[in-house]
Amino acid sequence: MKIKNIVLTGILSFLLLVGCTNIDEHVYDKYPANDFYGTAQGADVALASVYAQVGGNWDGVGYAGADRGWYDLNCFSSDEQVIPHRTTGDWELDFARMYKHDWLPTDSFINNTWRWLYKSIFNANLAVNQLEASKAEPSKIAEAKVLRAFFYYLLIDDFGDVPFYTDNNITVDQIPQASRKVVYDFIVKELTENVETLSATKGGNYYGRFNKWAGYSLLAKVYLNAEVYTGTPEWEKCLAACNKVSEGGFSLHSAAANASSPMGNKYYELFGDVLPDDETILAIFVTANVVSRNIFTVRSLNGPDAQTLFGYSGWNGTIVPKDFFLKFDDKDIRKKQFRYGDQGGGINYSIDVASLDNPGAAPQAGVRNTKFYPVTPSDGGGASNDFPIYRYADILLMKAECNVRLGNPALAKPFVDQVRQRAGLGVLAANPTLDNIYNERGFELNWEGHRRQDMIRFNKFLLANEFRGASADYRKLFPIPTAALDANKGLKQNPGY
Amino acid sequence: MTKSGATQTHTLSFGGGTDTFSYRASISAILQEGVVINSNNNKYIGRIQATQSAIDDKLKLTFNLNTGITESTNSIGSIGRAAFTSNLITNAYVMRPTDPVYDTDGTTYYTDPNVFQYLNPYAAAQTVTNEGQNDNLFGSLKADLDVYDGLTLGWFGSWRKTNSTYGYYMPAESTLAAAIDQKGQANISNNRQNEKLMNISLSYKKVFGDHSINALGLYEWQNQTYQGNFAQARGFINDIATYNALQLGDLSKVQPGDMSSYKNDRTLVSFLGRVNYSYLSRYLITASFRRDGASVFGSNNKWGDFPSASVAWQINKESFMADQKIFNDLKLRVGYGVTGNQQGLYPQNSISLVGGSGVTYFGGSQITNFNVTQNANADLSWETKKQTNIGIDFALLDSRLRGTFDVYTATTDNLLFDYTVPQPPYPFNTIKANVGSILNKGLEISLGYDLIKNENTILTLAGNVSFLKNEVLNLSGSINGVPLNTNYVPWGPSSYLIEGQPIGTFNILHHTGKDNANSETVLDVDGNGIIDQGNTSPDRLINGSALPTYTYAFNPTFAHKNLDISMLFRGSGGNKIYNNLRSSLSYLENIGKANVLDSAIPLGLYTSKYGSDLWLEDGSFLRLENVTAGYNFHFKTVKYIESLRLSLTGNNLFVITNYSGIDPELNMSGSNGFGGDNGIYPRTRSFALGLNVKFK
Repeated sequence: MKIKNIVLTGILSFLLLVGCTNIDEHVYDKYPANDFYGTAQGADVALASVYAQVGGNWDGVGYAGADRGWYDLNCFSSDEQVIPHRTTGDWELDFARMYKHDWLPTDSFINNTWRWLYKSIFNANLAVNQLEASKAEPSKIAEAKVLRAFFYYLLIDDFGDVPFYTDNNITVDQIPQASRKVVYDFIVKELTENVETLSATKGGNYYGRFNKWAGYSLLAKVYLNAEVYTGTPEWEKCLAACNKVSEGGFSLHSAAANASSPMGNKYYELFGDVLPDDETILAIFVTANVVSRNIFTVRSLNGPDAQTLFGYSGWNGTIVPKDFFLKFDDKDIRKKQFRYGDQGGGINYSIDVASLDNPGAAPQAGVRNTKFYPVTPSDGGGASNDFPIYRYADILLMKAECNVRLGNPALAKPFVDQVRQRAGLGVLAANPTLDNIYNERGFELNWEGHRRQDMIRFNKFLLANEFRGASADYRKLFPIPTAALDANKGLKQNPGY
Repeated sequence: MTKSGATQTHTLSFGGGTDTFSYRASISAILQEGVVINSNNNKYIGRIQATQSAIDDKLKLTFNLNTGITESTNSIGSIGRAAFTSNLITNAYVMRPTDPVYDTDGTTYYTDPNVFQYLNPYAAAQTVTNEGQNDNLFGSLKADLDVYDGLTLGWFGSWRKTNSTYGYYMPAESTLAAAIDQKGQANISNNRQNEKLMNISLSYKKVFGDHSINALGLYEWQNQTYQGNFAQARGFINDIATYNALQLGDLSKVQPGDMSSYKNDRTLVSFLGRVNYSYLSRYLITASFRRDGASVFGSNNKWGDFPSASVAWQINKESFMADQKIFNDLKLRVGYGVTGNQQGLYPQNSISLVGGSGVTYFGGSQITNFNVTQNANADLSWETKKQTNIGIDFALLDSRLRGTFDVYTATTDNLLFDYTVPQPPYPFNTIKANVGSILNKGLEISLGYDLIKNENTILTLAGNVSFLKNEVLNLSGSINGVPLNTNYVPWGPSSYLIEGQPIGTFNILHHTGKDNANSETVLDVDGNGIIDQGNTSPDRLINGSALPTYTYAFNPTFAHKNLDISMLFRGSGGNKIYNNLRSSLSYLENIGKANVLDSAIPLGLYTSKYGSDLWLEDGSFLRLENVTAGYNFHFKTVKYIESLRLSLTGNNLFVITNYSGIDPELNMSGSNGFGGDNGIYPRTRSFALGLNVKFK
């Protein structure tokens, strides 16, 4: 009887155990990656997530992101803007270090940019892979490939020789640090093979996306800087790509007076809500706090000044250095973007800034910028102004530059004059020189992320300025971030760092 | 910002029963006022325990039901400007001491518009609502059935359910930048936790003459499910409803992330077999084997086998010890065991997942953005620790001197940690992985001696000391089949896991002085003219570790008739602390911008680009943790009261240390990181008066 009990108990327990050894992992609140991306919708979403990388956000993410990302790295190292350390204790010294060409390989600007770009390339590789696997429309596959080329172009522009890979299922030992030339060749090949396949549609479903015209603009940019990247200039090819863009039927947007606009001129619609598609070729769509954010005005203005204008406090950050500001002609409608001198209400922005780092700039020192005059929704975390990556004025000035460099300054003149006349200035008295074009690019395209690249191409980047002496040649490349070198012993630091 | 806080504890308990049934029930209330203004914590606990015997005492059932309710108003844990985030108290330390609390009108809180995101900590303490409620219910049933001659079948099941709700509201007048911007911001988070445990055991206990055996087989299943949701609203017309009516906020200000919910779970299944054998109560052998499976590991590595064995020898029971008078007890223990660890691992770490990541614009509309959420690691497996220990327990001189000595050495392999991986190709720069091994060695001694021991008086001196030594043996391994060679894994501010060094070794730039501009200078160790601040920089020097190498406690107790007094001293040392807060308060550039220490004047540093060893301090301390004195009254003649105890307790009475910060015992959580002091919520000193009444 008792033996029987034991046996029964044993059998019972055994049965219980068999039922309770399941330790599979359950996922309730996310999607398994493989199942998700394998579907057609998954492939579409993969493409959309690459664009999500382009939009800017906190922590230095994005093309025009907030604080210490790609935009700050490429703009503050140029002559057009800087954030001084303030005597109030605001703004850490690394912002001023950018302007003084004193950046360190450990500075977060550099690491953020690197990480953003490689995360973007990971997403682009995923999109290319999934779109190809799901046999998506060729235009979408081409779009993902062009996006990937865009990120690689930004990488070689900042860092030179960089790790290169196109398949995410690869291990680090198989990712060599490719030379700038090798990656350049890849970019050119990807673009020339895919740009024609892109959609020719402007705006609508293609607003904020690489259509054919944005693709050719990118190709033109790559050729424009070919000499910097490879030592071999490609002015004719750049010109040809610009001419392809012109086939898209672009023109300069009007700069007529507009009393209803806070900036008083239609020109500033180019930096407003939905960017006009007569001139804009590729834009970043922004709805503050939802998709991306545009911080450039709120970051610049002094606290109470922004409070009076928009109802929220400014960050008292970015200023326009005196040398850059003073080049603007008083008649130039593009000078309206600046706030300087007495603004009433106790705000008086001095043009001079005594110190960028220590002891720092006085709270109201420095010219401020409202080129991206906030459009709603907006708050102290940024506004909803879209951001132009490529626009036709840039293409015109590129055409002018190629012509001058090819020895045809007379052909260049109409392009420069067109841009000048739109800004309310007279035509050039003589055929443009490279300096004319360099300056015009500064007037037209300041705060749009082009300046460092332009300064390097025009050999202005290393010149001394108000706050520093001439800088060393190696500063034309940023260092590979220390964190990346630590994680991958196969990487070689750029010379000089 | 602070006040004296009072705490009251009330407990009522009673019990009773018959031969086969007994119960005990109690109810307590612990009402605490915080020492930071606007903080308190009220806890109510009810307990019932019932035991029933049946079938001629062969079946014993034990039932437990505990319920606890906590209501708290919390001080804000992490707040500040973009440049400095810490708790409120630390914010108050750092801000300009000359700033007023109120504007000249005496009612609105002061802010400085020229400072980006100025924070008035007093305004935040007074106006931010931060409330929490936590209900938890725990029930368990244990059944033991005496099956046959020493064979017992046991079943145990328990269920703990925890629900918590936190509400948070920042009004614009709190001076917090986000609250001003959004015209008030409110959120509520609800979290539910379900923890179930069940085990079935079969045990056998038998004495055969000089041999006795005790064997156990056990199966256990545990599951924890975590669920919750979060909602947030901004833009309120006024601050009346705080977080209680999110729908009153401005719906046009809804942002991605304002609504979210989650659910995940983990399961652990264990099989355990254990045998204890003893011969003549002199030789004791224990062997056990367990096989554990956990859902959180990679699909091929969920199960781990963990054997252990130990031997003990009760030497004083040997015949050759029979005549000696010195030892009352002498026991030698030797053991070896392997244990598995899954701590630090969250559900779903091993698999590649896609989650929502805000909103993107594509195809002419705003759509949900999806993104790979983490670096997946399908190889995740158990962290294992192999430990060997030898110990002696002894009692001498009529058991007036008692003590134990233990030495152990343990090697942890497959260390679970967040390792840095190269990006590219990984989309994120860290991965949870099993890489590396660590050696721990230690010696633990505890001694107690009855200095006086007679009928009326006992004075006992007791204490213990532990010496710990650890070394990172190896940090390399492989992830997804690719060799990963890591070293200098970041652990805390300027502290790392470095091969051949203790855990949390400081590897830090060496302060040398200041330059002409009074900016700090540090040693350029490799002399290349560049101060490299990277983790593996040759300019860094090894300088101690963040972990103590010894801890000790001293615990004298004294009792005389109805009076008893006890004290507890506690201390540790051999570690260093990176005093980041002192560094923040020591640069003269901050005069007029933030608070500056007196000691900054003789130091004369205007600014620094570095985090150098200038801020590294000895973290040793000795604390008088507790003193309690009590007096017991016994009533033989009073009708209802059996006894009464009056006691006076003081906690945290003093600390002896060279550390210059608030307290060398850092709270390791929050924004401090390991071994760094970014400001802590101060540890309180408390005095308690106790009254215990035992009714007849």
